[in-house]
Amino acid sequence: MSDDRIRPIIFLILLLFLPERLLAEDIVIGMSAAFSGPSKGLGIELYRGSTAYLEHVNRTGGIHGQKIIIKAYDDGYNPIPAIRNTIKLIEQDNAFLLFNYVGTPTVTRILPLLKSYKEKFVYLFSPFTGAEPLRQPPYGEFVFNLRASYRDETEGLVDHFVSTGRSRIAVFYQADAYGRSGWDGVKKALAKFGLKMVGEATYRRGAEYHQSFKEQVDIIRKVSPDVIISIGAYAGCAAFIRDARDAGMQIPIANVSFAGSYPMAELLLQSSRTTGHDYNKDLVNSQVVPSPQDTALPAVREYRQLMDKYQPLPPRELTDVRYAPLAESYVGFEGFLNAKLLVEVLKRMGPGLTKSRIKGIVESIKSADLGIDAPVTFGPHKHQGLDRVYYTTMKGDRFVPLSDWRGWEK
Amino acid sequence: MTRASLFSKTLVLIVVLFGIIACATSILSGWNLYRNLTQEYQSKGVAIAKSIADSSVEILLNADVSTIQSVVDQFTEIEGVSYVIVFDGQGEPVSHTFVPAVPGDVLELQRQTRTHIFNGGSLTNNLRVEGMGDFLDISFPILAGVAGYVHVGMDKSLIRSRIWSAVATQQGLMFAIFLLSVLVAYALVNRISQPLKQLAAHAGKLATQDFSEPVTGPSDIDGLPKKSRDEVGELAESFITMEHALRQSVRELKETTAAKERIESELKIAREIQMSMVPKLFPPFPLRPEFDLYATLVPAREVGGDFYDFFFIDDNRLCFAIGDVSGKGVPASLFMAVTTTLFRTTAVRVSRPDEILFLLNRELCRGNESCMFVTVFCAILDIRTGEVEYSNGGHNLPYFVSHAETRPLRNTGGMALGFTEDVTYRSEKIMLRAGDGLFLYTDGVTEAMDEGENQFSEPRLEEFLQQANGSSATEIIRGAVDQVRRHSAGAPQSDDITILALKFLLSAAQS
Repeated sequence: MSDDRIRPIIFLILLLFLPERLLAEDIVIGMSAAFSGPSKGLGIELYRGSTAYLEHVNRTGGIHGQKIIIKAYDDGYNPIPAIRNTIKLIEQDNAFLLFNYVGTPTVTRILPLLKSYKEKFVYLFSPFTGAEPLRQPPYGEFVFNLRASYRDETEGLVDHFVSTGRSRIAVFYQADAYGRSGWDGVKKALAKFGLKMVGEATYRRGAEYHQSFKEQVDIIRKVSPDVIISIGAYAGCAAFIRDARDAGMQIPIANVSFAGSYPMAELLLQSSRTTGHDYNKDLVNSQVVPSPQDTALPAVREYRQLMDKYQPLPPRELTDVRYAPLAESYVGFEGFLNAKLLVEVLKRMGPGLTKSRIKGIVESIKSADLGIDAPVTFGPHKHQGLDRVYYTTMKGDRFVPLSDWRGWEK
Repeated sequence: MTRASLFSKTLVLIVVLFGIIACATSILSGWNLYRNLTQEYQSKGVAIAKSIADSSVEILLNADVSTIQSVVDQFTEIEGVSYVIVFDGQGEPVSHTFVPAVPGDVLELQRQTRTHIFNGGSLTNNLRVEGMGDFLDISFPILAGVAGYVHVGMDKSLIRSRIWSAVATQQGLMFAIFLLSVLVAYALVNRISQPLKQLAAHAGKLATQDFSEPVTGPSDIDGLPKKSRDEVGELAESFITMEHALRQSVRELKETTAAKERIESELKIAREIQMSMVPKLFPPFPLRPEFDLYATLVPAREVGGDFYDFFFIDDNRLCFAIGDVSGKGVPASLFMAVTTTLFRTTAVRVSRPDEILFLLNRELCRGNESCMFVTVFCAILDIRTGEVEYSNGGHNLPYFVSHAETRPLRNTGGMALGFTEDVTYRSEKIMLRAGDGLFLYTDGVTEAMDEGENQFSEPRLEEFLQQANGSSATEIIRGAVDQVRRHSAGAPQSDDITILALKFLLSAAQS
């Protein structure tokens, strides 16, 4: 056999082995989030924001030559699939770490898993929830949060409203651990002033925008509150706002970061167009990242540029094609920042990644700059990188930073 | 309509039976299920409440309610658990699963629960929440109530729907069995009633059938005994047997009747022959003024063996006789025919009564295999002198009738003819004067019975003969027959009545 004939065969055989070798060197990051159902916008945008940055890193040499791959599974914002996905990611996909999980009821349920996999050093990075159990014993040590907590958000909201003279605060919340977390935050914040919430109503997780929330509106309207703080997912919150406004309630309604301002605004804008009501009036949304429109910040500029450049898609096998991705969003920007933190951690580990070193590396991060004019600091007893809360309101179809609360003074 | 009524009766029975069974089983299983499910739900609820209470102590004290909520949420995934609510030590709800709000009834129940002393156990209440339904509320204190209380609501409507679905399944099964039973009963009743109907129809046809006609083709019930091997089959079997027996007996009856008719017509002919063998022309000898003779033979229903005869054996001597063959019917009449024929030929040959009887006996004994016998009284009258020589072969002794007396003739002591060949007969003589007569008869006269079975008897006959003295032979015989008939008065005549009367008017010697 001549060399001419052998050469292509050898080349083909090498080609067969090549991708496997490359894959073996990829850093697999595990993600379980809502890619379907009423909260799919959160999972998708978080994923897209992270992917924009990781794509950039991968294309510019990766981490010490290794590419970062997000292995994503859909849990539909439900606890049982979240648990199943987590086990799969740990056992089967051998994920280096868990990342970008979405939701309180889902994440609070996988926390015991992290503890039981203690020997394998499984850590959860930057989950998209501000619930307390992720920040407290016995599971807080396995989680590294970037964002501020719901307690931070609700406390800020309560403080601001009480300062405007609006102390009759009612809470509308999702009947699960997430809603309870926000409810508890409001309760504790009010307690500082010796106040109690004047009323409360719940709704079931997974509610769709087209559902009626008149029942909840009626319950809350009866106690004639000054403010409603709403702890829910964007579809339910938007529907509640729509029904409250339709019932003639023109008091401020505040939402926390999980509500996903952009998808929520999108739904309300659609309704505004059909009915003529301005459903976006008197809304306050607390955020845990700066506005993705605040181009004064270097990270925002980078985010917008990379989103533009790569136009990241939702994970194809998990999402139906009808989803129209957003150009920018708070959720996406949070995903982007999460990815920046992840890359920072991986870079600090140097070549030869070992899970057991993760905790020590992260806890050593002090005043890291992600480009949002807020230093990120971790420590052995500080597993939450940021604690700043940003308040926004809507002007027309745009989110604008809320700096002046006097408009709601009573 | 046999089938309809049989089937409807069966159907009613089945419906009633199934109705009772359905009701009884529904109530029983419903009640059992209710008790068991309630118990099960209660113990399930207690277990859940206890487990939440136990795991909540530390969390509640840490004031981490979202973890409690997470725990509580897990339990609502368990079937039958409608709600879970956790109150803190102050009685404020800190975690619950109610949407859109905690009902007032639950808050009220908690206020009551706080005053309850638990003693380490749980408390179960029946709770009705407006717009939500009925629940089994199980409450359990956390840290003896200091840290709070857990309430678990078990959905009672689930119990009810389970009971209904169980009962519905059961009743569905019952209904299926019921339908099957009705079908089976219908088929069974049909199977029983179809042959019965066939039998009934066949029986109806039998009434109008001509049994004497031969059977054309197989009967429509012939296959029944084989088809249904039960009481109906047996019935059909006996039906067929009966029909066969009926046909057989009708056929036999017809044959018998035909045979009888044939015999009767033969007997009639036999009688005619018999009658033609005795002289019937009266007066027999119009040119003989010396005597007056008349005879009659009134036959009984069947041919008998009586006979009489008279003829001249020469110019002056008249031979006359009367006889009675033993038995009746054709054999007797044949024997009688033989006897009369032999008698004539014999009488002409020997012309003495004892001789005649001797020879006649001998002839009769020859070839008398049937052992028949005949009584014969034979006499010869000399019309010139009025002397009568007679001999008796076992016959009733004739009466001598004169002005002075009526008495039987002296017996000659001979026995009936036909028994044995070597019998000799004696003869006697008697002189008749003008006006004297002889009366010969068979036992058909004296033994004629009235309805009380009383015989006419000799004394009556004698009495009649005395009174009739002086009458002509014809008058005497008619009178005698009349007397006998009057005596028997409607009773059927059992024997031939045969009489021969001879009255001597004048002798040549005497005149």
